[in-house]
Amino acid sequence: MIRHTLRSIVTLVFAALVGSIAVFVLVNLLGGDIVTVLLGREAAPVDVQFMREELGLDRPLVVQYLDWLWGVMTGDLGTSYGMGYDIFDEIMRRIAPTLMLTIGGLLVSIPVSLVLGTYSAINAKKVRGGLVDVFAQVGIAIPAFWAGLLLVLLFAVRLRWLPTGGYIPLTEDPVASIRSMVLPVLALSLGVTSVFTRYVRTAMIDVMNEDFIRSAMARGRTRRSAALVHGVRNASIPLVTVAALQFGQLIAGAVVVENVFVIPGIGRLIVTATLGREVVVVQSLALVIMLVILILNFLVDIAYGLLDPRIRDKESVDA
Amino acid sequence: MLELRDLRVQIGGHEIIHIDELDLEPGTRLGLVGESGSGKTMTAKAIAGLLPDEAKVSGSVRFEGRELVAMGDSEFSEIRGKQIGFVFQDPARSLNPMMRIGRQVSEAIRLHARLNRRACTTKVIELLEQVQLPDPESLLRRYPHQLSGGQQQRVMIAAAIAADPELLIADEPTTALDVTVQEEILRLLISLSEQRKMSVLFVSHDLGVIRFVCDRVAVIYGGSVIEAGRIEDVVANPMHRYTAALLAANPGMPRDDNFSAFIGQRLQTIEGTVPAVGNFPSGCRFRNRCEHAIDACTATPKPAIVENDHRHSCWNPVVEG
Amino acid sequence: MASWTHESATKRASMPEPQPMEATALNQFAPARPEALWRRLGRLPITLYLGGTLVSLFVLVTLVSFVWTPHPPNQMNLSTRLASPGTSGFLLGTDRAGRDVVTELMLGARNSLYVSVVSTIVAMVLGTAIGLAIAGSPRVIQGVSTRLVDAGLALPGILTALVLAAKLGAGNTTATLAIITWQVPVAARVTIGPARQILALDFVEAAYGYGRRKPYVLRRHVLPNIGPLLIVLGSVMFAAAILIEAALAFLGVGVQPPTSSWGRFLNETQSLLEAAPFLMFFPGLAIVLTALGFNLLGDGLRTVLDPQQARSGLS
Repeated sequence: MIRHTLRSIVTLVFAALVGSIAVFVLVNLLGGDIVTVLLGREAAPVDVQFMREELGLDRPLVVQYLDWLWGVMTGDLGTSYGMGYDIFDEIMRRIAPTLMLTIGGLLVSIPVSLVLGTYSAINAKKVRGGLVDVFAQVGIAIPAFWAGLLLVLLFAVRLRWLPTGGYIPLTEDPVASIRSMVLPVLALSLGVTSVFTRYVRTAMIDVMNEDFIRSAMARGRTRRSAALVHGVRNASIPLVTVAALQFGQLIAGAVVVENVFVIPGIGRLIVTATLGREVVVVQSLALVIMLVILILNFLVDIAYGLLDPRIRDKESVDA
Repeated sequence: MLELRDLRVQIGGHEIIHIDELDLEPGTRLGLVGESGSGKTMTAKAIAGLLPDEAKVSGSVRFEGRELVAMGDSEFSEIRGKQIGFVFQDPARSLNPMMRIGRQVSEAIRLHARLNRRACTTKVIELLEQVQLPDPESLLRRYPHQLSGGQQQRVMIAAAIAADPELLIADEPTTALDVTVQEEILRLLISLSEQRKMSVLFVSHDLGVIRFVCDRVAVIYGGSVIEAGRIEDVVANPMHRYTAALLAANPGMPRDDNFSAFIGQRLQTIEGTVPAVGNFPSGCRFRNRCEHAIDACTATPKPAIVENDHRHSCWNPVVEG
Repeated sequence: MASWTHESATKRASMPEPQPMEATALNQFAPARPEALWRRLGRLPITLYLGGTLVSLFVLVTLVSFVWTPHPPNQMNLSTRLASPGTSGFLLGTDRAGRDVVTELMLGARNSLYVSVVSTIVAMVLGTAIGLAIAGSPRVIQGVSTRLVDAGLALPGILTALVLAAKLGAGNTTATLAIITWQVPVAARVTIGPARQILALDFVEAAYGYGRRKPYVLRRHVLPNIGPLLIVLGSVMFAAAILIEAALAFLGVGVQPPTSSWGRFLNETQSLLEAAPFLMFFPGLAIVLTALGFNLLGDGLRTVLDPQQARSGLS
């Protein structure tokens, strides 16, 4: 278990470094000069020079990079050129809605996919099992933003049961807060649930062929009971790992969903910043989002180590 | 207590099992012996109702007066575990790696009996002691991967007899284990069978093991019983040519304390391999590989009774002298 | 021995007669009859047909759009804006500038096809090359590189897309570059496993034995063997590209007006939810059907080309 944890930590740090370098390279070395982007092509050389010094762009790249990383850790990321807000503060303000959205998405998709996937696997040879698989296939192809629009049209515009968007902090008014989150979370989780469902289905079908299922039936369980009692637990632990792989998808979904439902989260911030060519903001935002994903992955890794009894006691084998 | 009559199993248009007659008396141990592909495992599965969905079963399997063929899954699940217990070949794979041992052993009890938590735990500890596992209390919370192969198989056995079944079906229970451990497990099965007056249907490819454990034997080839009788009779006077060849190929007939003395002897082999389903010759299915085949062998044989219910179905059987 | 007659006898009567042994024995020596083409086509998975149809439709519509559209491209006509589907001359209605929906969709298909083709081809070529290189490199390098690729996988492509767009500005080029950056780690990761397996096979050892070098082995032995896998991968990646391009366009970060795009079209319908609710169905449906088509095609190809992977594989 210790070995497993250490390995997870190393992966986390390694990936964070690699990612940060990648982002830094993309921003600073690709395309034109940052200052030109910020100020526009016709900016006076004097202004350009001034800005360059302001932003510390005349320093060696490595120094800039390290300074930036330091800034992430100390909370000093500079200010937005176009809008004047302090970047770090803005990020901190907006993280709650995004977290609520993504965690909500996970909380919905995991149980739903377990149920649907298991149902589909148990009924694999019948029509209803195949039908679930078909729906999952379609669900993967539906973009989150379209799902969002459809949901808004039906539930907000036509039926007026739920608001069209906006965000109310959980602490302020729990009921209204959850009401405003229902549609966005649903839109976001559609794609992810579909992916998970297909995975659970495949995993369950595989598990059903395992010998210990036969043993369970030999002790007096029906096929169905054996699947539910023995199969699900074996198939769901790796689901945790699959979930980790989908975090990126969740964030991507959050970005668009926040824009559809006008939720003041990180996703909306990064899009606005991108459209406003706020390269400095985007650079830091990208890193922060990346770190959140990596930390979530790390937590999932640890959880997996705790859940699988074989890893808990022994050294884990190279995957 | 177990009677098979004209049991036929068809898969994919081929008849893979055809057993005219097979009986198991209460409290006795019957061995089902044959090469891989002979149909012995399929027969065991057919009795247990654990065949794949595509299999079509006909004929009769009467267990304690109840007809098992075409019994529904939920009805059968009442019998499995409670009246019929199973031990399978590979204990590492037959145990759920993510479930604690205590829970798996108690599963049959929880399904078929009304015991409260504490009574259940006591019973499980008793069972683990009966299968000679040390320190049963701590075993309850362990996981299968923490045990050795021999220990895992003991756990399987404990789980199989947990609800006190009248019949135990064991399919190659020691094949996946070390030789040193095999004898212990076999002795355990014998003693459990005697103590509990539990019948055993022991499936194996190893005639030596069957001789060690069982009172009676049925030799299976090509999905049919080609010879059956008391173990000593069959071994001393094999009638069917296949049985004779099988015996000749066996390194030795261990009994009691001379088990390991028979490792490493020269083997005599049987020509050819077991044909795939659908590729059997007409008439006696063994005739393509038999050194003593005669013209009469092209006709489907009928069982002949020799003496003391030692029967076979060979047209050109081994004759004394 | 007399047959046991009871209820099971009726079951036996309904069973089909098993094949006579003689016939099957002889069949071993008879030459195999070529199965009717019709029969073989019927056994192909339905996903292949469904996917193939959708994909063909997509390509067809795109190609036709170069030659003909119901209305001239980008023709605005404010007097007929927001017409409902079925209005004369406008099969699916018009948007807020009076442009015909069908025409807009056909033009949008062009853009999707262009971006997806370019990005998928480049990503696959690069990704496969990287994957093969990693598979063929010594253990230590493999370990580090694979971790690098995994790190690349964990990061959502949308971030790269947005970073690139902030620096380079919005547009098709940015979108294409973004998709490529997003998908290269995917292609690499998928290639590494099977490539390593093949490199471990005996016949590769033999090839080294008579003097072949690693690049040759990779090219001539490994690559053809992972061919089917790559075809499936390509199909799935294409579906992903369609979705990503649409998402970027929706956010305003993708292709800019006047070039039509399904994603941007969808964005415009958001403010019209009350006025013209029907509008948002069409571009959305177009995106879904096209992405679905490629996914189904990939699934079908996977079943046909590599049944083992189909059973246990995950996209």
